[in-house]
Amino acid sequence: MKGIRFNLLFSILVIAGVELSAQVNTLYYMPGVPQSYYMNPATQPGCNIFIGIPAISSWYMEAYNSSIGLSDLFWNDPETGEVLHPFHPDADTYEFVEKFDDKNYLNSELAFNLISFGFRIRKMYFTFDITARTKERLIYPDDLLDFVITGNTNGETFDFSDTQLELTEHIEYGIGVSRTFGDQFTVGIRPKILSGLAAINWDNSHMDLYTTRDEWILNSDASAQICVPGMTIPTNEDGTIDLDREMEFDSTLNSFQDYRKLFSGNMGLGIDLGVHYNPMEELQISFSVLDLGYIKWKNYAQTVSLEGTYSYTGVMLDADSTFTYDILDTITTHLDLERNTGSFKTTLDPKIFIGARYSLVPQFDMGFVHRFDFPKEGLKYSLTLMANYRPSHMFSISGSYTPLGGNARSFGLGLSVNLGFFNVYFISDYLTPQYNLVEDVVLLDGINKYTFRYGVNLVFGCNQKKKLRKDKPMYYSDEY
Amino acid sequence: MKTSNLLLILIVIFCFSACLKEEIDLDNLSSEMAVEHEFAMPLIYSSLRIEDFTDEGYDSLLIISGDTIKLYIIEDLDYSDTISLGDIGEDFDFDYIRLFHSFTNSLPIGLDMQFYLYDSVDKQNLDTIFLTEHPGEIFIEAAERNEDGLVIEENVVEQNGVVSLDAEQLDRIQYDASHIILDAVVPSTGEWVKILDHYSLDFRISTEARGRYITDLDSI
Repeated sequence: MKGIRFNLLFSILVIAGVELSAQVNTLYYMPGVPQSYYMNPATQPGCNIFIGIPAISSWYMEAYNSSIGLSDLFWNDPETGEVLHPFHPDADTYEFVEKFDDKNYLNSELAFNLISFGFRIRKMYFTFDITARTKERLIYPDDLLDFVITGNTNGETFDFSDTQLELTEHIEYGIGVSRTFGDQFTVGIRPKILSGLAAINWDNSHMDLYTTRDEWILNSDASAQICVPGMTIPTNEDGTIDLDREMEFDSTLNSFQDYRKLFSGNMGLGIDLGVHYNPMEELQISFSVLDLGYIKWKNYAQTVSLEGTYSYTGVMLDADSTFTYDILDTITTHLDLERNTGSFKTTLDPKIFIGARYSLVPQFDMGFVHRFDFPKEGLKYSLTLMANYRPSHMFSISGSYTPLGGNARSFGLGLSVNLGFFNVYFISDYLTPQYNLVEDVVLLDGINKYTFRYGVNLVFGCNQKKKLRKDKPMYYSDEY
Repeated sequence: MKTSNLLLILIVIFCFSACLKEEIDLDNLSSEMAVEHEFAMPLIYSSLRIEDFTDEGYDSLLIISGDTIKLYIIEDLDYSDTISLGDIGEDFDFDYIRLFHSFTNSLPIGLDMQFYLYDSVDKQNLDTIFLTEHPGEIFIEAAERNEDGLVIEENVVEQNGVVSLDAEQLDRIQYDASHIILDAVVPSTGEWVKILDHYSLDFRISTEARGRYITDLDSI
């Protein structure tokens, strides 16, 4: 039970809740990891062939809460040894609530490869992958927490206008090709077909709640675009939502063909572009644009709008009606709660990376990546400094630090190991040596952003020195 | 294999994978929970009109729509009832509760009311909760009437008041008292009064309160 509880609270922070990245920056200059082409489609993985082991070749998890970290949710009581939480009698709930900003972000992303492989043919490298992605972004004002946790006083107004929820699930089919041109240029492109599984896009243009002891007044101008294939929102004849009935599964869906059509009706396109330029042997300058694209939601797409003013003045004493019925009835009477069918479009969150690295010695380079995210709420920028060390084709390690737009108290780490034909890797942008050990769980201190990518691939043809020995038996240099 | 068939298979795999989750068990996680909370909110309201009762056919009162009821309450009418409190509000530990009441009475009869907190073990009254701020006041005053016994409707006014319960009284209600005794009195009218079917009693009760919501995480 407690495990479930922790999971629920963790879910609030992590699963339900992100950053805008969808990529770990440390991966940018790690060609030893086959999935490095996700960061720049011009990047050619170090091994000639890779085959992602289905479902475990690449797991990506990301979670971000702009105001709190896990160590704000759980900590040890040094006297009793119990694990406490912000709502414990000994905790200061008001202090917890004050940690939140006027506008807070709770984001998460989960992505994993279902199928992936790639291979080199002369100067070209081809990749193919199918990735399942779930992305969620919740923007919530501190007024919402104030109202729910600490309550209201007479004459207080709560502004919920900044509340937004975006939830999308889709499958991405990517075909990438990268080609070198001479010694200086490598150009890559990775078009993607996107197949939408579900989307919820809730946006409050305006919503506030004025509370007095005699009346609560809710002003709302909000709408939600919803696409859950197979599910319909029940409505009355006049188009208003019938709150007496629950969402219904489309009973006309009976055959395999019906279900096949069900999930193939929300399609979209995307593209990643990238280039590496080597003006000199030791220097590489890189540029990539990722996630330009959209999904058009047509199958079972519905828009729900909630407009108007609703006033709650208490429960009317009336033996013939129930409280719940009264409330719902009043809401539908005073607020325009309507459902409309019609397609809508969601976009991916585009990103631009501009980076450079300089090889101090053949196995070691240092560099940086400027990153620009373009989510719906505006531009986000971050700068990551990185160092990469590749002592052999079997092992590489990368370290990174994101002082701008990240967390100045944390560092990034990437490890890639080739064990025979197996490549195993782990990468995270936000780690710290400071942590709290809550029972056996390590909670990083001061971290409110978590990014992890890990996976296992089958790799072949990774030892370039061996190749050089075969190709040039009369001359060999360790500098290659 | 058609692309859409492949997609369907992938969706099944995706949904299956999505069901996999890591669960971390915190054996020492304290299940105690107490959240400071305050609120100001409307509770109930109503408008009781004589004609509503006639429309509903309250035959036992022998009232027909359009009737004028003549009434003479010669002596005060007392009514009392004892209500078992049981386990009320055990999840809440209030610092205070203020009940704000507002009555607009266009009936020529009034109502006074108070509550006694009763401990059935020691067989004693623990406290009295008065609904008026000053001793001797009537909780709901009868409407002013003319010499014909009819209410002077333009003189009907809203009567407002507040019942304040502090932490000590609330503790008595919550922990010490087993019953609450309602004692209501309809004062004598002193003369014949007339009640028309459009006369009404409108009221509204709202509250302000502050306290702690105490519960156990296991019960959530």
